[in-house]
Amino acid sequence: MRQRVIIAIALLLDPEIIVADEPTTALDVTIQAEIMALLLDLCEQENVALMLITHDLGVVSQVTQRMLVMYSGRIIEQGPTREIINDAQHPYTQGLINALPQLGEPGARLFQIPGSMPSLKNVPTGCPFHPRCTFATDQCRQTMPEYVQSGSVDVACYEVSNLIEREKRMQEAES
Amino acid sequence: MKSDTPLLEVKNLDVRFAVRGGDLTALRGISFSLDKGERLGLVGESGAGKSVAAFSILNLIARPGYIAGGQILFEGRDLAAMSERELRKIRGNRIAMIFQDPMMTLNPVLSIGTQMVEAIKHIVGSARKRRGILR
Ligand SMILES: Nc1ncnc2c1ncn2[C@@H]1O[C@H](COP(=O)(O)OP(=O)(O)O)[C@@H](O)[C@H]1O
Ligand code: SF4
Ligand SMILES: [Mg+2]
Repeated sequence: MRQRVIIAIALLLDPEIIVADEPTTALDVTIQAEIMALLLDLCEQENVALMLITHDLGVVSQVTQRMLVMYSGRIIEQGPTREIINDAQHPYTQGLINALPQLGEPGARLFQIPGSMPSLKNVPTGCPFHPRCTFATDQCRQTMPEYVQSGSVDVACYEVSNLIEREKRMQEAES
Repeated sequence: MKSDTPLLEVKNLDVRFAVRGGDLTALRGISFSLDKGERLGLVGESGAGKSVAAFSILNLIARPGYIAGGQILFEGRDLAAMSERELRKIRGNRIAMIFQDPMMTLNPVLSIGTQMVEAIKHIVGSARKRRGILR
């Protein structure tokens, strides 16, 4: 109830942007969907921009047009939501998606990313995800990957940038 | 119609916590933009920095946290370099926040009084608008 009031007040203030940090996490599951629908409706009606923070990828895929994926204080992948949900580039994003029964490939075994998010006191060198990544190489352990573009998606991962490089070289060799 | 400048543009944002033994980097090189009416999702496991990012966007990061670099351009003006007085006009009115704990939403950002008064003003305003009293 209180959260409904908060959303109503937030919208009555007629903002251009609403930043919602896990707005339904503390609520009952049945009410979560209702509150989210209310928020979405009102944002659409009033043309309000929404920054929706959630750990629920299902909600993100239903509600948002673009998405950011964060790991250890960095954005590791960002782009159109549909493109990322359908074909995530970063191994961490792939792990998040494969951990969801309804979003992962049908019939695929449910996956859990091993390990956990590092604390700020012990951020790993290089790519911060490397201790949990099955593709990690020495390059990953030593230096932080820069962003590369894959389709409309920006992603910070050597596995991805090396693949793009290989494809480019193959195309050059063919022509 | 899409304008060239996004509504919100965060550029290379660095946020740190000053703790004993040195600074801890909570956000590093965060860059993204948000257009008018666009819906943007932010995901990541617990501890990734999502809430720090949310608070930082409103320049609401509390000590020992601080913005160590970068810009938060709202309609072209940098919230990271704005006075507390100017920020107060933007928070709630132009950029609203809904946080996980409802009490957090009302507490540090705006007093309940301000939010209620603003809300009531608005209700009155839009009722008048509907009745054609205002243009
Ligand atoms: N006041 C603080 N002092 C030191 N570290 C903090 C403080 N607030 C948050 N952190 C750290 O910042 C990191 C990101 O936290 P947070 O933004 O709350 O993550 P999320 O919202 O993604 O779960 C965590 O490692 C957390 O421990
Ligand atoms: S940069 Fe390396 S360690 Fe990091 S996600 Fe990519 S492959 Fe894995
Ligand atoms: Mg949080």
